[in-house]
Amino acid sequence: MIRARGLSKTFRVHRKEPGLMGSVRSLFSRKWQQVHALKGLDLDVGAGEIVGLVGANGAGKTTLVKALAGIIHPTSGTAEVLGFVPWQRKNGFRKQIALIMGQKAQLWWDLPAGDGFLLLREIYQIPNDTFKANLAVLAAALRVEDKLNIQIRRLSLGERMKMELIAALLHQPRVVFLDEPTIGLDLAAQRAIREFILEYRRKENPAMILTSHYMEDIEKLCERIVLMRDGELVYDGPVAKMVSSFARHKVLTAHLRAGETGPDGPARPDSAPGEILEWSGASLKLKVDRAQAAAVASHLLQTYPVADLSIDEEDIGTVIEAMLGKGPSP
Amino acid sequence: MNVALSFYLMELKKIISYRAEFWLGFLGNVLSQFGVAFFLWKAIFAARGGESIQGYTFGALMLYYLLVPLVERVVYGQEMGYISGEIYDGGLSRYLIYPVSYFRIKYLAHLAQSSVFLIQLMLGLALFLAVFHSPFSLTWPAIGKTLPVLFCSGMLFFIFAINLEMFAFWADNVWSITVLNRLATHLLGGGLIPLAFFPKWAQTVLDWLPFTRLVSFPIRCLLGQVGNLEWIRGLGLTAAWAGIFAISGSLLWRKGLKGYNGVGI
Repeated sequence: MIRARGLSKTFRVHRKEPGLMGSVRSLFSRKWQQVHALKGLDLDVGAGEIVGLVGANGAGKTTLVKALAGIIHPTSGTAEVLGFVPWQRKNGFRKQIALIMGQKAQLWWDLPAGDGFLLLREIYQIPNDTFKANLAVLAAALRVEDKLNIQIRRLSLGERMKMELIAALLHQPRVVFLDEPTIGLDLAAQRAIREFILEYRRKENPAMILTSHYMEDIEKLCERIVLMRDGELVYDGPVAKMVSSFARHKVLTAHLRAGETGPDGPARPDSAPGEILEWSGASLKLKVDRAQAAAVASHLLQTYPVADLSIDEEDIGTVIEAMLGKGPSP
Repeated sequence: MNVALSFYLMELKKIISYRAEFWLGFLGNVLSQFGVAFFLWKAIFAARGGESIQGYTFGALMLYYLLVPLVERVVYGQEMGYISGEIYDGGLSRYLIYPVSYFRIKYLAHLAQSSVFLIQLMLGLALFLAVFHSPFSLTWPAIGKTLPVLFCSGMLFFIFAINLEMFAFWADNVWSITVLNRLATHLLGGGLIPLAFFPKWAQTVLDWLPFTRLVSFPIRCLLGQVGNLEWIRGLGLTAAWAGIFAISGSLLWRKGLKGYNGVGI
């Protein structure tokens, strides 16, 4: 459904020195800098896939989404979405895609959501029966049936985001771009939106690209992850494979039996292998090299009155940070 | 209901939902311009003496200056800077993914605003006629000629303005260009002083330029000063200028979109 080959985008940005003199100087002479937001990127996304696009700020995620949604022209390379070249913006293409931008309202601020949806019905030429049925299902799933007659600007952020989702999905798009759909939302709203996205995928089988800085979004929604750094793909594959291939540590958690460690509890295990992440006297959490995990587990079982022991992968955020070179070295 | 009508009605709903803006915009804009003209020309008439200047009596001039802001509001429609603002802050992006022309949407917004201002024009005119017992009377033929002229002038202004606003693809801020456009239209279109006060050669030149089609021509139509031939010629010139600016606008749009970065998302 989505296929990009050698996609590159270079921007020219104006560099201004700070301060008043910098501003005055820029009136007469400007310095420009080339920013290579995308560097020959290849990507394929099939029907029913939710691909998590992850990277630091400025990695090129949103630029990629904008190119695939037809908002910007790439500097070079090719892309096809549903058989269309996105930046030619044919109506046949635009009727089948949706872009949800968590940081940018798309509905009409001064109008109730219901009026905005009626307008979208006309824009996408949705038959009235289909429109009514879709709206009823979407509004019920997101529990906003009683908010449809309230002006968008008077809704809470979470309610607004739910309306944005409804607006984007009313025409049952086959390709959906989700750019930070849960940004700024409380936990309940985040969960509701994630469940909703999964339900939509189950019913409509669209290709979806999700960018998010919330690792929970990626973990809960995506089987496949695309990591970007400085406009290039660093990794493209299953989330589980990424963790097993790139995580260098495992996390061991041991819960100790009460009453068997003396009146003052066990001594802090300063000599324990690996890094102590948590120590409460009743439990111990260690980060250890993957290769040593079994040996350390055995050591803990022999040394401490362990009631329960679990061995987990590092959290996905840590693995990604390490792969992107921002966090502790893997 | 089709897309165009839906957008038009939506814009109307938006405008009408701001009741205070409807009345304050009307009174503030019209009274300030009319008030300045009233006191200025009263002083000029007192200093010069005589019944009329360049064929305008004081009453006729006041009617003219009442019509200038009212007609300008109808022709200008939506406030300036919307399109350049959306290019600048990335608001344009959301329209690019809709299967409908961006300028069609914007023109319908312009048209909706113009419709509201047309009501204000009628209201202002009715008040003037009721209060001042002017010798001028509104005739059906004049109204019949004015409505299509206002429609065409509004379209010409919209197309001309979007040409200027599209410079936002290359320059971050084009506010000054849009302000200059308003000033040029106001001055060269006969909004500041009636065109009869310009030298003959200037009147001839201005007659061929688009500005007079935006202010002076619709006012003269409403005042019943435009004959049939001149009316047809005026509409023809308006359409010709609109066609020219539509072609240049289309080129600018294509070129501008290639460099559009959709900042802000």
